[in-house]
Amino acid sequence: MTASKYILRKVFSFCTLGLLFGSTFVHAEDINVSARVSVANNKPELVSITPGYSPVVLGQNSVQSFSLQIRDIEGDSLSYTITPDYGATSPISGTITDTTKLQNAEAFINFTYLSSSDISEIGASKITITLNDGVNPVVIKEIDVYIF
Amino acid sequence: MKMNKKVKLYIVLIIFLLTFLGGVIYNNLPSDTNLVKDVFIKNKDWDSPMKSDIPYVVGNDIELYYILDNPDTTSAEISLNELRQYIDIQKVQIGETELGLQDSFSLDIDKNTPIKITGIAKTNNNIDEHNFKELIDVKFSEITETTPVEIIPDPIDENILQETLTSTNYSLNQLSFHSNINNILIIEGNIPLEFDTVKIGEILFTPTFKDNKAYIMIPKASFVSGQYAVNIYLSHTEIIELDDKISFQYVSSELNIVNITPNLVQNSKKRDIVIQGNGFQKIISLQLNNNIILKNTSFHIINDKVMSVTIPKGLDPGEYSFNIMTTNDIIPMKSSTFSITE
Repeated sequence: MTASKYILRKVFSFCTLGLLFGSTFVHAEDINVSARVSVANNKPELVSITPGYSPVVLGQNSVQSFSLQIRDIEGDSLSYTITPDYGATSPISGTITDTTKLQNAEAFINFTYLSSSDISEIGASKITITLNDGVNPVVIKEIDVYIF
Repeated sequence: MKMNKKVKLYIVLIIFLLTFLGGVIYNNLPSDTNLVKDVFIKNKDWDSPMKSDIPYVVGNDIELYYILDNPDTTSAEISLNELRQYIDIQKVQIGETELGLQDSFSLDIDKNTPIKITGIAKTNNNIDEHNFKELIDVKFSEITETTPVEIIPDPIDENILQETLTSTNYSLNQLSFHSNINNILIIEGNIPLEFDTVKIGEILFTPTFKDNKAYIMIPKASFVSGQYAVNIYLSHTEIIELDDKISFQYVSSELNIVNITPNLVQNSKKRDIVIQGNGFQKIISLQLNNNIILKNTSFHIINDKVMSVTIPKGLDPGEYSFNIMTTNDIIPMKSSTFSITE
């Protein structure tokens, strides 16, 4: 028997054995795989701002009230900060925990802004708002003001 | 021919009189003053901030904000003809009211109401070539005559008047402040507020009144750490010292942390917190006081006064503060802390 024939015969034998083995011990079966796919969490939204025009124009040392309508579809507890370039606000931060109000866009951030009396701070500036639901990256919103 | 002195004097007097009369006549002409005080631009395509000069190119979606100088409610005429050469105007708003797209308008404008014009740029920005302030023409044709409003004072509660006003008639919005930022102290009362001066510690302040509340701007660094009495000056001789004292916290460093929100987080997942303070543009690295260095991607400096930081999950429960690295120094911020729980 030549070497090539010998090898071929051996390969054929192994293949036969393999087929026999596979058909005896390996069965096709359905395998169920389950996985929990997390629903994407929506970031909080700033639905509206009152007053609704921009920039908000006011004189030095003047009081302006702002109201921000907020929605978080999942109703996640929301923390916020309010930071003016100049002047001051009250409050400067807070938390909204009412799930239902957040889901229904019935949650509001109300704050008072008192403009600066410093003459070097007149002109255009902004108030920076951050919204943080603890899941998504912080949402940033700027309110433009003009002080004369 | 020589003019004698008398003739010269007469000529000077005549010139003076003519000039004077001319001025009087000019000032009493129907006003055609352009009311535009200032203008700002936003490039919406680039999500730019609102500034007096922002670059844009043909096709950019831009917004122009005109600040007017009208003293009170003004009947004005607005012409946009010239502006249309540079912008394809899509929307015109006065305050919250949207107007049409005609070339000119006649309407009443309240004081402090801006004009917002949205459109597509037809030219590339070149401030030297066209000043937006001059491209819109806002003139008042007549000032609306307003009948002086008779202010009818609220009926005075005689019972309160007969009582001596005391500290219990007033309340404060807040008792604790951080003196590294500007603060507002709000005084409310169960009576009409009638005072011109409030003294906090040894500093006198003049309040701004609105809706029967007194608003007092306390500039940053007015007070060092401590407690201060609040005195309301009803008159030079009648002073009420409030029962509540207010306290300030102050750090002398230019880079400082005033507030951390939220200041309580769980360690089961990573969590963003927002820090307010001053000097954040100088920060190049952050570390927690347990020597964990936060990656540069873990903090986002929003502006010089606000930043967000991602607190990693799995930290041991306890109280934490930050160590801040600037180009010059490493500054521990021990006085401003937040807590981690399980």
